[in-house]
Amino acid sequence: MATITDFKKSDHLLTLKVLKLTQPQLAPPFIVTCDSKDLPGKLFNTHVKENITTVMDNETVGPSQFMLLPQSIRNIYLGETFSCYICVNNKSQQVVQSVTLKVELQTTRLGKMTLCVPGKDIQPKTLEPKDTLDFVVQHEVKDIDTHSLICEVNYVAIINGVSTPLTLQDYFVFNVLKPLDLKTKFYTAESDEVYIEAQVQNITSGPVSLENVSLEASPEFKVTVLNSTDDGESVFGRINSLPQNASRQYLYSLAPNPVQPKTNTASTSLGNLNFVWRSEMGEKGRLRTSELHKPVTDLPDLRLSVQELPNLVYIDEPFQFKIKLTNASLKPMELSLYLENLSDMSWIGVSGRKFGTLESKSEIILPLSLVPLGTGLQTISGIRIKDSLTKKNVFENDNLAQVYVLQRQPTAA
Amino acid sequence: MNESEILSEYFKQSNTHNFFDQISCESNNFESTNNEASRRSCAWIPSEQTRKALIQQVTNLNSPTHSVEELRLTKPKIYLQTSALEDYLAKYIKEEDRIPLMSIKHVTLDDRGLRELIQAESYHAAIELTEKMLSVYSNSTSSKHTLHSVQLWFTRIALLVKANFLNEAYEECKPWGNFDTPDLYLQYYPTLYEGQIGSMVPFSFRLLAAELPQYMKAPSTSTSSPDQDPAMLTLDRLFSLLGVIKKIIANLEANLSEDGSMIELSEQDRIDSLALWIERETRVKHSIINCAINCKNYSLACQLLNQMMEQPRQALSNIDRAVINSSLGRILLQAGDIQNAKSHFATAKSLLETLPTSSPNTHPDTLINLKLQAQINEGLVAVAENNYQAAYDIFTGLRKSVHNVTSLEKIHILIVNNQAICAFYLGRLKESIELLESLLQYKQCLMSKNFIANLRTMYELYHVNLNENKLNLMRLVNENKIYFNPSCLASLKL
Repeated sequence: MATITDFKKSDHLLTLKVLKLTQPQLAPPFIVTCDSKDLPGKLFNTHVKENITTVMDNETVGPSQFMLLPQSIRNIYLGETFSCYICVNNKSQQVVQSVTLKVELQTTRLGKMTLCVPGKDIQPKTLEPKDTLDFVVQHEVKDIDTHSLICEVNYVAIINGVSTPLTLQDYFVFNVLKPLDLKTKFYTAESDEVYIEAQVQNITSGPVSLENVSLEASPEFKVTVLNSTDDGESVFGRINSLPQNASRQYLYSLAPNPVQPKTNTASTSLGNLNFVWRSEMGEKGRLRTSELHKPVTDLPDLRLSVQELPNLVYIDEPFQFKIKLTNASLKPMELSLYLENLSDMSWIGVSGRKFGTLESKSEIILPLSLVPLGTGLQTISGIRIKDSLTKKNVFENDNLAQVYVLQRQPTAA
Repeated sequence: MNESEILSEYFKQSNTHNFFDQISCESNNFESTNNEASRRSCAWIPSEQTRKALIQQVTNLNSPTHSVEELRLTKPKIYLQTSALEDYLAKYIKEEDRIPLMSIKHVTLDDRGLRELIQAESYHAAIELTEKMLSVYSNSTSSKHTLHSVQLWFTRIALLVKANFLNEAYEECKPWGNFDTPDLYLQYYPTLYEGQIGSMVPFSFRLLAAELPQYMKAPSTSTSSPDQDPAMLTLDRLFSLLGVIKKIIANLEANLSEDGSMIELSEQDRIDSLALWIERETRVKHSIINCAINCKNYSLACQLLNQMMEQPRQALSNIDRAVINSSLGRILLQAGDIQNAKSHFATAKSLLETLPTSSPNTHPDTLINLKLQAQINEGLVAVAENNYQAAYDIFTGLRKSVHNVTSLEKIHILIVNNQAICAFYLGRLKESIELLESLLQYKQCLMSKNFIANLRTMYELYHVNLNENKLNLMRLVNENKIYFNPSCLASLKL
C-alpha cells in the first residue's frame, strides 16, 4: 500500500489549480475599415460590424462592453485585495470522499494567516469524477514582503481497495509592491497654523484614479482642505486619472482647535493621511499613513502675530496695524519694545518703550503706526522685544508681514 | 439577400454619425476615376517638397530627366512570402479530417476573386492572391504605381493585419513612409491620368499605416527613448493626419478646393466634400481615442471625446450625445474613475429617455439597442465596484429580455459572455464554462480571439481534459469552415 511519503504529485487523484484574479478588462476592438469604393468594398466594414467586440452603432470607438478575463499577470500592490481562484478537480475515474481545502497566506513579518478554514469556509465535499471544488480568495495585503500562498487539500481515496487519507499540497509565491510614494512638507505659520503639502507619486505600472485622499486630523486640530476651487471643483481637473510616475500635491491647513487644551510637547501629532485609489477597471486599494508629526522646532517663549494690517496703503500716508504678543513660557516677562529704522518705511512712535509685565499664558495687543516712503511691495521688519527679567532679546524676527504701497492718483481740484 | 447585405441595410437606417454612413461610390473601376466623388476622395495636401516636384514634373513634360527626385520614390516590397504561410490547422488536425477552406483554386485571379476570398474570410488564400496579383506589377519593367496597384497593396496589408501578421504588415508598410513621394500622386502620371490631381493612396491606407506601430512590441526599456515608443509613433502619425484633414476642411470652408488651389467647386460638391472630410476627421479622432486607450492615456481619450461633444462640427442629436457619454463612461471605468463614469452613464441614460419611442429618423432597433447598452453599462459599473453578484443578476435579467431576438444576436452573445465572466468571479467555474460553450454555435464567437481567450482561461483552470477541450474547439472551427485566425490560435496556447 502506498504511504503518503512515496506518493508523487502526479499520482494524486485530484489536481489543484490556482489562477490569480485581477479585474476583468473591456476587450479592445480590432478595427480595420475602408471606403466602399476601395478594393475590398463593404467587406471590411461588415466584418467590423459583425465583430462581437465592437459596440453597435458606435463601432469605431473603444472600449467595448465585452468583458475579457485578465490575459497577463498584473503586479499586486500594498493595500490592494489579493484575489485568486482555487480549483480542485477530480481527474480520476473514482469518487473521492471528504475533500477539504485549507488556504494560508504567509509572510515573514506577519506569519501565517488562514484564508480558508476547512469545515468553516468550505464544507467537506464528495467529488464525482470531473467534479470540482471551487474557492475564491479575497484578502487585503498589508505587508510589503514576499507572500506565500499555501494550499492544502485533504481527501480520502480508495487505493488498492483500502480507504487512504491523502494530502495534496502546493504553494505559490508572489511579491507585493509599493503603489504610491509620499513626500510631506510642513510649514508652520506664526499664528500656529500648520500647512501640510503631501506630494503623492504613482509608482505603479499604470495610471491610477485617486478616489479619495483625506487628512484625518488629530483632535487638537481643525482641517481646511485646499484641493478644490471655490466652485467645489477639484484642482486636479475633471478627469481623475494620475498617469504612471506622475505626482500630485495635496494641500491642507491645520488650525489649532480652541476647544482642546494645548499640549506642551514640542512635537505634536497632526493626524493621518488616507488614500483610496482605483486602477484598471476599478481594482481598489487603500492605504493609511502612520501618524504625521509636526517637525520638532523650538517654540519661542514669546510669540508675535500681526493683526488688522491693510493690504493696500498709500505713500506718505500713515497707517496702523496691531501686533499680538503671547507669553508662551511658564514665567512672567517684563517687556520693552524697540523699533529699528527701515529703508522704505518709517515708524511713528518711541523706541524702547516699556509696557509692563506679561504674565505666563497671557497676551497683549499693541497698536503700531508706519509711514510708507517708497512704493511697491514693502516688508514690515525691525521689531525687537527685550525681556528685562532675563536680559534677553525675546523677539528679533524680521519679515513679519507685507503691504503694498501705492501712489495716490491726484484728484482734480 | 445575404447576411452582410441585411446588416448594411440595417446600418443605413441608423441615424448616428458614424463612419459607416459615409457617402458611397459604387465604382470599383480604379482606372476611370474622372468623376467628382473620386476627385474629392483622392484629394490630399502634399508636402512642400513634393508639391514642387510635382509642378516640375508637369512643366518638364518634354524632358524626362528628373535627377533630384529620382531617389524619392516609393518602392514597396513583399515581406511575407506565401511559402511562409503555414497552415496552422495542419499541425493539430489530420489531413483527411480537414475540411478544405476556399482557396485560390476556387476563384478567378482578379479583384472579384479576391473579394470572394475576403467574404469567405479565407485570409491566407486572399493574402496569397494579392501576392500573385502584385507580381504582375513588379514584373513590368517600369515600377510605376497605378490606382489599382496601390489598392492591392492596401488590401494586402489590411489582410495581414486582420490575419494577425502584424510584424509582417508593419514591415511591408515601411517603404510607404508617410505616402508623400511624388510617384504616389496622380499628377506624376500625366499621360495615364490626364488632368487629374490628387493622391493615389486610399485614405484607409493612410489610417491603417498610422495605426500599425501601436501593435508592435515596445523596444527594450534600456534603449528606448520616448520617440521610439510605438504608441507615441502612432499618435504622432494620427495627429499629423488630423492636421492635414483640418487644413482641407478649412480650405473648403474658405471656398477653396481641398488642397487650397483655386479650382471651382459647385455648391453641392463643396457640401458633399465637407461631409466626407468631416466624416474622415471623426474616424481619425476615433483612432486616436483607441490608441490613447491602448496606451492607457485615458485623459487624452476623454479630452478628445469631450471636445467632440462640446465643439462638434455638426449639431449633435441626443442619440449622438448618449453614444459619446456611454463611451466616456467606459473609458473612465477602465481608468478606475467610477464616480465620473457613473455620471456619464446617467447622462446617457437620461438622454435616451427624452427620445420618443418612434421617430421617423431613428430606426426602432437603434433605440432598443442603445437602451440595452445603457443597462449593460450598469452591469459593468457593478463589476468595477467588485460587486459580481449584482453584475451577474443584471446580465441574467438582460439575457432573458433579448432571448431569441435574432436582430440582437450580437448583443445576446455579449450579455452571455459577461454573465459567464461574473459567474467565474463568483467561483462558479462550471457554470461559466457551460455559458460560454452555449455560444459556440455562433460563428462570430469562434472567430473572436477575445472569446477564445476567455474560454481557454477557464479550460486551464478546469484542468480535466484540458487538451481535449482545446482540440474540440479547433475541430469545431474546422467543421464550420472558418478560417482559424492565428491570433485565436495564440489565445489557445496549445
